[in-house]
Amino acid sequence: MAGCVLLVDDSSVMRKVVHRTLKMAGMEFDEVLEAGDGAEALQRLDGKHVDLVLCDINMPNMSGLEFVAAMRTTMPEKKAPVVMVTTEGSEAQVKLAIAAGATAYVRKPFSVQDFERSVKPLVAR
Amino acid sequence: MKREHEELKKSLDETVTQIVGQIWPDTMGSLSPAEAAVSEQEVVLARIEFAGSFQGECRLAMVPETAASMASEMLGGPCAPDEIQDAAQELCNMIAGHWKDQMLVAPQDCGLVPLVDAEDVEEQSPALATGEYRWQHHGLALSIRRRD
Repeated sequence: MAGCVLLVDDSSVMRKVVHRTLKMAGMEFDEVLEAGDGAEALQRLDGKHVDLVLCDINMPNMSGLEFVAAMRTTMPEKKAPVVMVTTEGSEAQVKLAIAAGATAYVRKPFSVQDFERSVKPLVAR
Repeated sequence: MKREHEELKKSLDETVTQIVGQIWPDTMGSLSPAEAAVSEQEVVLARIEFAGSFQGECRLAMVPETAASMASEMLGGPCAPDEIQDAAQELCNMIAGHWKDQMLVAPQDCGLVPLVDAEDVEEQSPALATGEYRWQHHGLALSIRRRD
């Protein structure tokens, strides 16, 4: 699978876990970008084409919800699907994420099957 | 009050069993509540704050060997020393997030705020729910506190 993925999480361990799970689910990217919060993620996106963004919600400086809202409003040319990967999974929280511009939602801890079901169809389009 | 305490404890037990079991499938069926599963002498600590409609904190303590093994399970291989604390914090966040969604009427009104300095914990109020769990030769302890 060619292309570029952006992994956004304040935990470097979780970025590694997400990357590993992507590979195990059959999604290998040519380029992997990483950011520790929403503000850094916006910088990484600047002038860059990405095919997929996986983003935590609870982060310092700029949360995942703030990031996806900013990305959708200030970078409308970026059409990449954004998957929120987070510990919180209430129905209301999912609705908030979708309203902010997220494409899908995966709850931590996640499995390879979760990624195959919720993430893979987004990059196979 | 006693019934509420029992429900909080039951919910914590179920959450820990579910989360740890998902990350570390070998624990399935063998993880059980235990007295003194974690020694106070040397532990890896992680905590996260509940902020909003419910104010308090979730605190996780693991013996170093358990914390290192947990990090390796998450990463699928050896981990660096600084990744052990990071992985413990993530485990604490996951347990707190799932417990909150299970126990609060409006979980979206309560956020999770990471706290960097897990050593600096003031135990001002008694715990709402505590649990110590043991499996194989590993152990971890959880407590949920409400801030008055």
